[in-house]
Amino acid sequence: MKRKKRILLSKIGLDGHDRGIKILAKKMSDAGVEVVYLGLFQTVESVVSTAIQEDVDYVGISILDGGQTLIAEDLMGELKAHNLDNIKVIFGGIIPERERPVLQEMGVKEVFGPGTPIEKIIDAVREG
Amino acid sequence: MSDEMRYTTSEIPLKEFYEPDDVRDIDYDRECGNPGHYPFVRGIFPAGYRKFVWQNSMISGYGLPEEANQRQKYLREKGASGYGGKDSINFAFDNPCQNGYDCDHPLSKYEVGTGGIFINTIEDAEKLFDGFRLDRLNVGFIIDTPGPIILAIYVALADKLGIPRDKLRGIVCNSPWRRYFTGTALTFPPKHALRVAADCITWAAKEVPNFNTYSVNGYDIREGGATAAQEMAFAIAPTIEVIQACQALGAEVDDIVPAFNFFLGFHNDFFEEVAKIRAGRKVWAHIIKERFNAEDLKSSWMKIHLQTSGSTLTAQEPLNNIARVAIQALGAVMAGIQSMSSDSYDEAVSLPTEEAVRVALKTQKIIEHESGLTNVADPLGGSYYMEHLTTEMEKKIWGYLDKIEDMGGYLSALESGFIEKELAISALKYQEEIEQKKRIIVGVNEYVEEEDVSVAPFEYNPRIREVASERLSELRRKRDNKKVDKILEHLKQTASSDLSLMPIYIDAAKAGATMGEMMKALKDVFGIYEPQNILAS
Repeated sequence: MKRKKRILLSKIGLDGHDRGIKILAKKMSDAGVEVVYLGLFQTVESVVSTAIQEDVDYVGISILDGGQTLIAEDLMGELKAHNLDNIKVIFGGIIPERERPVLQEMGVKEVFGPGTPIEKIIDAVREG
Repeated sequence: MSDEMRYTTSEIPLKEFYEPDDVRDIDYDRECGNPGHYPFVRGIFPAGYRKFVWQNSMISGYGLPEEANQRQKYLREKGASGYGGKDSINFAFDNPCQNGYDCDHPLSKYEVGTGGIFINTIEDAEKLFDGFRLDRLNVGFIIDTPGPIILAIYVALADKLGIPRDKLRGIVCNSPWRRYFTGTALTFPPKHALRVAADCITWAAKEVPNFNTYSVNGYDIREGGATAAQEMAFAIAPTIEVIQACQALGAEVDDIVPAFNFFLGFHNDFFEEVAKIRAGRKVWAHIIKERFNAEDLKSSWMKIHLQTSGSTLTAQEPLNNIARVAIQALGAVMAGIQSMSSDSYDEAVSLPTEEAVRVALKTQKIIEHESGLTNVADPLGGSYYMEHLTTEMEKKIWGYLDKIEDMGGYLSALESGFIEKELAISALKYQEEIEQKKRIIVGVNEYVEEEDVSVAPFEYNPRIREVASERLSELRRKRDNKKVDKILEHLKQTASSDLSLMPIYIDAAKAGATMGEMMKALKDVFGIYEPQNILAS
């Protein structure tokens, strides 16, 4: 049997807007994805060490306060430093369209903006 | 009857139409009353907006203090005005500030100046208010647990400029707990957070008597997922404990409650939102007069600052948001609010651009001057539907308040996870309605445009943190560090007593201590509250 996909969901830094990611955590877990919900106020280091510990396929980070490029830079660097190229990173939140290619260039696999149907995010993780 | 039952977001069932029978049981004089009369269902002023039009308090803030200052000057030039011809400024704070960290703290790395302003030092405040006269200004500081320190820095600046403290007007939000579960912040554990907030309120009642020091905050709770009824109830419930804490410090209700101001939202369900505000005014008036025995009738006024709902705005076809904001702002005016921040159409994309914020401000001006709505108070009063809905909403609000009371009060309800869980459930339900198309959001799940109709986002100054950190190093080099250390030590020692901390913050600010250093001193004594991260289940 194919192993269930595992995702770590979290927020890095001091951005406290967690309405969206909490809904996502619940819906993903209802849809059969194994969710590790790390919650608020994490650092790049705490996210990566938990990702290793929990052996996840995906790391999903929610950003609503403008920190996306700096966070992507640090997170992708930390994953690389641990040779974790197999872990796919997705971002969601208030991220201007024009910044998405920049984030993808840095290695972020998918960027989901406001109003994205949750099914679409779940499908991306299940099939990815 | 049509085949399906319909409900408001707070699950009040709706009939196809309403008629005299639906309002027959309402005793007008006792339960409603004219505008300006207890229990203030129809508004706090008899003349509605004829005497005082609502204040334009556009929420704003980003970047370095001088950049935020430029945006405020722009808004003033475009007509933003406060009561009595004063200037009106309403500042959002960035995440590091909300959490009590200076710009150069490692945890501040990603968000300095991105979601609001920062005030770390008296010098920041000086730059921020350059060109504004503090004695002719109504300022809003949308910040909670570090709020008392921000107010202290503002008072220190006024002292420095020779402006009498009783000329200072405005509000600091100063809510001890709201950020535990929405826009959460790493601040003190509940009891200590309450001590810091109550200290600020009671001190200010004597020292800065015209400054509002507590925001009864429903807005963030609503944006975090609450229904209309939950918004009002979960805003009022903690306030009961805040008043009690101030009383324990020796304050009288009539000295402190006039310095309370509500901060509410206005969402999409037009009539329900107006009903929420009308019912809320009644519940609040009742609590203040009957439970706390306030003698001054003004104490039971629910004065409202309202912001249109950021979470109803869409990133899809941002220009459509102009219509959403206009409808919400119109409803707010019909509900009789005192102050408003109307959102900009690009807020689901980025911080507002100058053009977007101008449209948002002018939306308020159009309502004020072109709609005729400022002529008559409570124009929806007497509508069978509105009065029925107001009565039902009042029952819902009391229902939650009684439930919280049964749980042993707000702090117990909070610590048991009840509040956070209720929000998670409501937010999930709302999202599922959108996913299942039971709730249509134009441009998102219906009438979707295939081609790109986005707008250009606001662009940050990329050097904010760098410049701010350089300034902090410079300050730490040139100030008298021995003096600063001594004051911070005094702050720590006083923190665990009942004595006011406000004069110490002011001394510290004048000596060049930073907001983050003062917050660190307090965190060393009080500790930090960890977020609960509760999901719906």
